[in-house]
Amino acid sequence: MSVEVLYGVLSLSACLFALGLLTLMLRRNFLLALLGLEMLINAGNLNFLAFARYHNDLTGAMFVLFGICLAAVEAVIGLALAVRFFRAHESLGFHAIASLRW
Amino acid sequence: MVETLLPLAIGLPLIGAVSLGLGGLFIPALREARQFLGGLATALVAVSFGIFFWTFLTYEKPLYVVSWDWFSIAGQPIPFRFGIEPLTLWMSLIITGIGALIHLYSIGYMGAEAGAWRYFAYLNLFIFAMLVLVLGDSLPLVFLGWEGVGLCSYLLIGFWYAEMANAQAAQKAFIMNRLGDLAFIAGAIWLYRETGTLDIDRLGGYIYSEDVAMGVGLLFFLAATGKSAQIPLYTWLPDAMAGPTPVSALIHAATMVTAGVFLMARLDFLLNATPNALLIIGGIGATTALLAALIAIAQNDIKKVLAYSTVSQLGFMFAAVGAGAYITAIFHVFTHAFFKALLFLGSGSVIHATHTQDIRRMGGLRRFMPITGWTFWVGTLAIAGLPPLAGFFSKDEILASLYARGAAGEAIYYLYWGVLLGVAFLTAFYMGRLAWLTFEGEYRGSGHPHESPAVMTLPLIVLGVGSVIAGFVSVPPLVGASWLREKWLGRSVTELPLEPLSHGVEVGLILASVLVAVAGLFLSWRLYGRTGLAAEAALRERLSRLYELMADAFRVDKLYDKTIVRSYEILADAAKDLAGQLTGRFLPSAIGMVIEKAGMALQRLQVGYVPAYIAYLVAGGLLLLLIWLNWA
Repeated sequence: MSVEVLYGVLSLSACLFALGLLTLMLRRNFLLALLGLEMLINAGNLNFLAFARYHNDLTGAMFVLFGICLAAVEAVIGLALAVRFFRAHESLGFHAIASLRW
Repeated sequence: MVETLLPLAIGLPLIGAVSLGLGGLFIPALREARQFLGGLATALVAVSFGIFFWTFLTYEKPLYVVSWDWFSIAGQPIPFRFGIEPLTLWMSLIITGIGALIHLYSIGYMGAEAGAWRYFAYLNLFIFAMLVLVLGDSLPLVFLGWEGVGLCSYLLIGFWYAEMANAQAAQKAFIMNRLGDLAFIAGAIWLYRETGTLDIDRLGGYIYSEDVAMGVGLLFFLAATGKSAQIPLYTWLPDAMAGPTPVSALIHAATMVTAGVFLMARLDFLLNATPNALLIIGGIGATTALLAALIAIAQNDIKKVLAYSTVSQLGFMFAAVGAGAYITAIFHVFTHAFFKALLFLGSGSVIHATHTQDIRRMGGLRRFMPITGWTFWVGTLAIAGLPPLAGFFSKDEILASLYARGAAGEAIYYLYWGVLLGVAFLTAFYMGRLAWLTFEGEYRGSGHPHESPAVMTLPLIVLGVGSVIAGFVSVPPLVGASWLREKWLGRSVTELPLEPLSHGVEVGLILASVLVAVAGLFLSWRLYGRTGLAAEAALRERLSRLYELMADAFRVDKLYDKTIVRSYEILADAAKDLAGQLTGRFLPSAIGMVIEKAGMALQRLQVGYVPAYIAYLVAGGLLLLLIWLNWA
């Protein structure tokens, strides 16, 4: 894998990461925020893979497996929270659940 | 040979002070050995005197001892060095000689005190500090001794510190001396700015303009008024009598209070350049002498009379300085050290026997304590200026120098001469009064007073002999040459030149000073010798208002209290209130307020809207990235 390809993949990962952040900051729905989070984690995973291939070292690829597990766990907790929020507030909008404030 | 011993002469009193002080502090059993401790302290000072005396006998040229670098100012080293030359050696002889006698006397006087170890440690420390003062050859070193004697004076005035009055007297002395010390420092700084050196020998080599010499000279004179109890800083000395009587004799009569006169003689090169400052010094000396002599007439406390007498005699010395006759001033320091130490020790012997200081409850004591009585009379006649006792020669020389300065064209010195001639009369009168009331007539006290032990009477006898013969070191030109001026002090002190008086005038002056002394003594005999205390009432009647004022010391203390002390207290109270308000109320509430406001402002960030937190996170991350990029 050449350097040019590495740069390409890293740029893709950076774009994915930026999109994830924008999703988190701009969307007002809890479920969509969870999607944004998935994008952040996968941007990270992509970075790992790119360097693993570039260095011909499987350690990076190993970490991706952990990352996927992490994403699964996060999804479970996030969805469980979403269910609780919805039952409490009848909505998944952030405006509805903005009670943690001064 | 003797050079090798000189560091020992200076160091022995310090060794004594440290070993007595530490020994007494850490080994309580040692405190009980009072006679031994006193004997040790006395022996150390006596050995020191022996070495100085040997140096004096073999003196050829100035010596420098103990020389090491102390510190440096702007790259210029200030050495820790002592200079032995006629003036400083002469003072050292007075200090250690009289000091040894008073140490010896103290063994008897303080022998029953539990704090004797402390007393002798302070006394030895005083001798050391005084030696540093006179022998130090740069102004910082002189100042070190100057402060050291002030400290010892404070410690010893407050020796019986359990009584509030004593502690207050000690503080008064200390604080008034600080005022003078400020002037000392200011003068030293000014000199340094003019010449770039603080070494006294080198300072003597410069030519000073009239303005500089006057400013610096008067600053040092102000310092001297503190140490030597002159107007305006004299009121601490009468209060200093709260200390043990031998301390009054050593520190507040014979040695420390003459440090100001010594300083003037040491800085002769400055004063010689400024006749105007000399005029002021002479005026203040004469005024102080008159004021203190008037007060002394109406005092009933034996030590208060002697204290005001000391202030008055110091006034004589400063008048001599004012005439430019520094050697004459030092001569009076020398004779005064003998008879005033004698008088104070005599009064201590009386107090020891009668347990009172009130002369109204004494009288006829010469029958009970003949040695004390006779030596006290010798001291009285010496200070009154009866020839051929010591006080006559020195006082006559002072009067003659003032008269000669007047004859040289400065008419105001005639006035000083007239005033001091009057003061000489008053001196003979109040000292006669004191001696008549204390030692003659009927005993008016209670109990049976008896003579003090030999350890106390021996110093009295030695000092009595000294009071008789000390004057012969400098006899008037009429009789012969002054050894002190021509063979000794003249080698290191330069006086303002004076035209010698004609023989006729000189005879007249001597007759005048003998006449006033005899007249004063005669008047005191007519009043107090014949009728005792009855004369007191008559005098009070006659002088009425003036007598009240004199007995009240002209209310100078009250004046100082009402003006300076009071305004200072008001200032201090205001400052205290201000500080209390600041630290007790204003500052705490201000700190609370700032924190509260800051919290209120910052809590706005806590919006509770999750995407906003993400935005903070991103902003923080970007900030860190920026910092990191700037660093790398």
